[in-house]
Amino acid sequence: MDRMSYMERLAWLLGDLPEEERNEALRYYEDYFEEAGPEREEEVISELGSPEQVACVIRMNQKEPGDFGEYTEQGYRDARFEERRNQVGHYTEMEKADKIYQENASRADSGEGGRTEESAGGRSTGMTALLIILAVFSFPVWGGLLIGVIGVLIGLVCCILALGIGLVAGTFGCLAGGIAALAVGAVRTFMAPGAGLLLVGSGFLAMAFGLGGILLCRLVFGSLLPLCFQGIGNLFRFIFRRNRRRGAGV
Amino acid sequence: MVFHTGTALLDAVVLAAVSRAADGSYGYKITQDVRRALEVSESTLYPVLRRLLSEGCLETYDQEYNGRNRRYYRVTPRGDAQLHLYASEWRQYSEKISSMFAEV
Repeated sequence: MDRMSYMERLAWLLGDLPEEERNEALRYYEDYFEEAGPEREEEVISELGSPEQVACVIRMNQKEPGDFGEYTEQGYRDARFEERRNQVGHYTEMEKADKIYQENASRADSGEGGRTEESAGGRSTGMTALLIILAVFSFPVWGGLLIGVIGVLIGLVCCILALGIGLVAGTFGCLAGGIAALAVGAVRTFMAPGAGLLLVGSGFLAMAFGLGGILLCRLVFGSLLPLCFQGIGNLFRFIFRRNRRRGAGV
Repeated sequence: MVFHTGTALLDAVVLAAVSRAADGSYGYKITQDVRRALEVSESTLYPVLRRLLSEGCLETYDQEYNGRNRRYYRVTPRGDAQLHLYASEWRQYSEKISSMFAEV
């Protein structure tokens, strides 16, 4: 990342701050790069930390200067960053617990490690409950998404169906009109050859369109629609099978 | 270094760094000066300067340098009073701590 993209990223991250606040901060860091000179550019970037971190530090000042952080010899220490790191640590702890649980579960067959298995198992059901709660509370998000996807699928099928129906009607119209024009034109040719022949010609033309329509109908009803239904069926089967597998996994 | 630097001490050091030159100093130089005493990262000083500005301990002005405007920070009378308070507090504090270590 060079200075330019660094500053662009920072500006983007500060996008929702009041304009004055944002411009002040951007100017400060812009000046900082300027004073440091191009030869220190890389060093400054690595010293400053990621644009995300800098943005966080700027934002912190935006709110009332709470005592979140502390300046240590290692630089600024933010309790909230630490917390996040601890959470990550906690996560790996949980993974470790999962591993132990699995090991114990395989060992349980030979009748060992029953108690640790129980305690780890309790955590696992807790996780499941947490996941279910999470799923319920996030329903407005994924529910909307699901309904949206279903709507799009239904729309797609209806669209193809309507196309098919239109094609059938058009084909019939062309064929019927073509035959009629042919018949009338044949009769008229005896009375007024010019107009009659024109009618016969257009009759043939209409019939050609009709024959083309038949081919298209075969394409839509023979392959496109079945393909569509098959695709949707596969999708649902995929979702449900995955769910079932996940359910079995937990 | 095992000792942590609290907000007050950092404020004091920044004020001292700014007050060194009669007509103030600019962000990059302040950072480099502070880093001579404390190992703070380059990004830490912006919020400190902002806070000291909003508390009225510092003020800014722009001056042309090499064809562009450089933003200078200058200690206000209020900031100067604050700096003197910090300095005398620090003297007392460090003397007491040093006397504890005198016999070590």
